[in-house]
Amino acid sequence: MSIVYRRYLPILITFICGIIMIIQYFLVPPNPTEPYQTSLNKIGTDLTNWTNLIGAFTAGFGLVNILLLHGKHITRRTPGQWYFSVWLLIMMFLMVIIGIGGEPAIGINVTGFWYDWMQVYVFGACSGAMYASIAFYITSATIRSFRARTLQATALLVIGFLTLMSRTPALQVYPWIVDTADWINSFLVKSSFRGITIGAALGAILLGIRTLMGMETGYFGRRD
Amino acid sequence: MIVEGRNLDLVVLILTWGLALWAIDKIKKGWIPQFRRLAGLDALEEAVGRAAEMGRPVHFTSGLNSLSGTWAPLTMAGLAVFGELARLCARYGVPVIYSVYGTLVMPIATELYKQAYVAEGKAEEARPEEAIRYLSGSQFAYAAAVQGIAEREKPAANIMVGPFYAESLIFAETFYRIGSMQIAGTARAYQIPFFAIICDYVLIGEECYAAGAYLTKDPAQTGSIFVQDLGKLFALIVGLLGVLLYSAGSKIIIDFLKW
Repeated sequence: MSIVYRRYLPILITFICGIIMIIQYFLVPPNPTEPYQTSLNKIGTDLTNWTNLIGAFTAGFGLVNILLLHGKHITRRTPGQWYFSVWLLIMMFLMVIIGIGGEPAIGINVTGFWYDWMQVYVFGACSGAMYASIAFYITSATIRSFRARTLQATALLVIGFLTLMSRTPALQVYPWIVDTADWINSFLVKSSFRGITIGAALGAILLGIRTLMGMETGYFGRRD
Repeated sequence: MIVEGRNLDLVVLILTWGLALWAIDKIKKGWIPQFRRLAGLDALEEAVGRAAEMGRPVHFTSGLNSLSGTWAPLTMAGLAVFGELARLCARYGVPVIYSVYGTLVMPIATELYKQAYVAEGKAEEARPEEAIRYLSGSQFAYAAAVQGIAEREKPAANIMVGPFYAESLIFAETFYRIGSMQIAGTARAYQIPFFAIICDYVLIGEECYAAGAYLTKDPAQTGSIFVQDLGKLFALIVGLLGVLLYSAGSKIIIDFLKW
């Protein structure tokens, strides 16, 4: 494919769309009143909708990718994997049929019952279980990190312990512990976080500028 | 004309853009700025080498990535790291697995992967359908799938660069348990402590955004890292002035920031 299509055309499209969005940010207030503001706002909304549309198209890539990968596992009977692949494909098609097939196809209120049932009692329950498992991961990570081996680790242990204990009902009778923990969170922790946030924001701005100028080659691969 | 409260944003953007162009021009004329080493990015080759010795794959993921919204730049930074990682994997003949959340980055990741193999002269060895794996568009389904890959395929190294949320700890702990070498980076401040505790190398905030420039060593890109440091210096000065003046009863810096 020509370098014009592979590199210069995407850079040009990125530049034009990026500049439009920047202009929109600086010239269009949250409630536009002037005609030029309304027009710019509409262009910005259209561009965002296009992104969503492209996103919807790429869902097809995801489906094909899953079919190819797990189809291979099933045909090759990959040890320890193929039966999971079978289950994945069954569940995927079941959700697709229930979601798309819908009410008119089988004469019951699918979206109101089966789809919701699958979402709430199967998918929701599994997601909730995964989320809850984080408690155990936090515990094991805490046990490893809260060991007084060095001066810094000891400081981490003391401050961590203080912050944890300050939230327990038993220590509410000692207001100085609660106040100390709040002070650590409000000043020391927040100021460190702000330092990281400012640095990250600057990095994001510069990455944006590099992208608009066609200098950021990360998403194109290298030039050579 | 300019929306109220966004004047300073515009001035900062124009200044940053101008300074970036100036720095890039200076670098093209032969000026070499000094940058500190980013151990996490230097360790990429070590991670791939370890995987080659152990005969196991390398795992990569860019978290709950998105190409629109606040975290799009971080996703792009992750893709830049993946491009370099794919190249190293192609060079050493190590399979790479990219666990994808959401489908929008899939075509880009696939293209980066193919380009990496072509660049290393191994186009026929590329297996994009096995390397780039779409898992789910739902956070915990994606997290469970990554855990499954970790437990079944036991990657020798795990590289995570992108926007991570609650799943960060699940990933870091799972890969720690199976003995993977881990390099992680994110700009989401609440997840950085988890990575710092568990992973071997951590990229903190801005270091992720500098990854593309740092890895490619492209002069046009490295110039902007210099401007990034200038920006931090400016923020530090404004912050210190703000604290001093506010303590003295003046709100001039606050008004300046709201301009």
